[in-house]
Amino acid sequence: MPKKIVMDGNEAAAWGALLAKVDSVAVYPITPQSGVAEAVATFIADGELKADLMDVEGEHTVLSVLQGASLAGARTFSASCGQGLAFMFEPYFRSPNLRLPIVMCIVCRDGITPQCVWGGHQDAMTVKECGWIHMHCENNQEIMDTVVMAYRVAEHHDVMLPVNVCYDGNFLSFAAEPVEIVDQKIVDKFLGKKDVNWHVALDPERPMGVDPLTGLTPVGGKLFTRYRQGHCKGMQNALKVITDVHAEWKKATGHDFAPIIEEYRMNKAEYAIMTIGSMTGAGKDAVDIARDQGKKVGLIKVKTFRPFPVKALAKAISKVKAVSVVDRSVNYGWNCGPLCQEVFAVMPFVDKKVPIISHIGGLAGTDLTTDHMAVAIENAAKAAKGKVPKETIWFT
Amino acid sequence: MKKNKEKTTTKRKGHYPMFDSSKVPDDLCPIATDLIVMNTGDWRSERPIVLRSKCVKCATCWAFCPVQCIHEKPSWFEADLKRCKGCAICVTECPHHAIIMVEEKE
Repeated sequence: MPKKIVMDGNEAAAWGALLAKVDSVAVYPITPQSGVAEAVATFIADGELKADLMDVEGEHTVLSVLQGASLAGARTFSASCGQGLAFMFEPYFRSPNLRLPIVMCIVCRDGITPQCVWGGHQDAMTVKECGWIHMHCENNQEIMDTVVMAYRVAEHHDVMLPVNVCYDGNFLSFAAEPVEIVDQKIVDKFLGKKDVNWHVALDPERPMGVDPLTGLTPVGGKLFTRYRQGHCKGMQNALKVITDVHAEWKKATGHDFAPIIEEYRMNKAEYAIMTIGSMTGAGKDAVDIARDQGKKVGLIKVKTFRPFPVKALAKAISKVKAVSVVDRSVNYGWNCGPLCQEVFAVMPFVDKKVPIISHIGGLAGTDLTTDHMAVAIENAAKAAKGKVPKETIWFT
Repeated sequence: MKKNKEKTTTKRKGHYPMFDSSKVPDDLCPIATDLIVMNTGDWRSERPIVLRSKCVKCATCWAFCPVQCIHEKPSWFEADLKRCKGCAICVTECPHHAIIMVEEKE
């Protein structure tokens, strides 16, 4: 019987890194991520994890040293959020272009200003266009498992991209719940031999110029474009790799998590709500309550946000007559949530007209409850009958 | 690994060969495995000419040259044109006006 212990989300992320036997860790503490730094430091101090823990002066350096470590062949781990992620931005958008399989948790925190240190998806949603893979977790078990799986995805030769394992600050980072520790032997077998810098390296035995000046001239411009195309190809490959890796993980451990999107009670559903991250728990409860009342509602949970699951979502949306999307962050340019905006972009791939209603709530650490989800369900029900709310609905 | 080392020492006099990127997809990651040497002299538009009749070998040009490309000759100094980038500081500094700049035609 595998061991189950109580831990919060930050510890679960650190446990994932421990099981993946990472070589290099660099973290700079920031609320609500600090627990990750603390847990990893404890593992290393206790001799459980044989890794270099680099104490650096800020997040910009965190990712810069991890780039170096990854180029030298190390399996690397970090975590950040909010303003820390903002300070990390320069190396953040360089890492994926260098195709370095770094795994970093984003312990999602709302953006400032106004001053706020609490949960919200604004940080992760702001950096979604940098070329990292983004996977959002629903509970602590999923965090631990996804960190381990993230290494398989990131280091897959068809992908070679860094992965952000995103989970809600406060709601998961500080929420303690039982998590099953997967046997180390299973993880070792699952991850296989580490092969991080086969394609780009800082290695005196394989001299190469890393990241030379590319562009401007016709030849350089073509080369630059080719790398961009390759990056996009790697992203699309990731959709299949993530699916395969989740299936393999289920076979090895019995833990069943939806890889790309999860369809919950979508059988014969007339309308649906769409969620991302920890709010899915409240969403599922609300759907259960509504189903008990005879309402034909289902739930679509998005786990993999980058690459965006266009086909899977188009298929799921085409099953219903209306969808309420609930976001925990804001897309300023569209006056709706970022997930909702992406769903708008999926609509040309859906063979019928389905009204999409944007809901924004749970900002700055406030709770998204079953009552909120019930409102989203109600709005979807109204829209299915033709009464589509024209504006974004804000839960305050 | 050891075998690889022996092989390379004979090939490049103690240096390892450049990384063989043929097995890496060409759209994966920006790396360079061909070295092109670029000298500071490659972008010069004017070259310094020392008028040997005027030169007293005072070494002022030698002292002021920012890329240190001035070489000593029997009774004069001369710029190494591989490295001279044509900044003309030597022309300005020469107390005997013994250096002139001539346009590069190529």
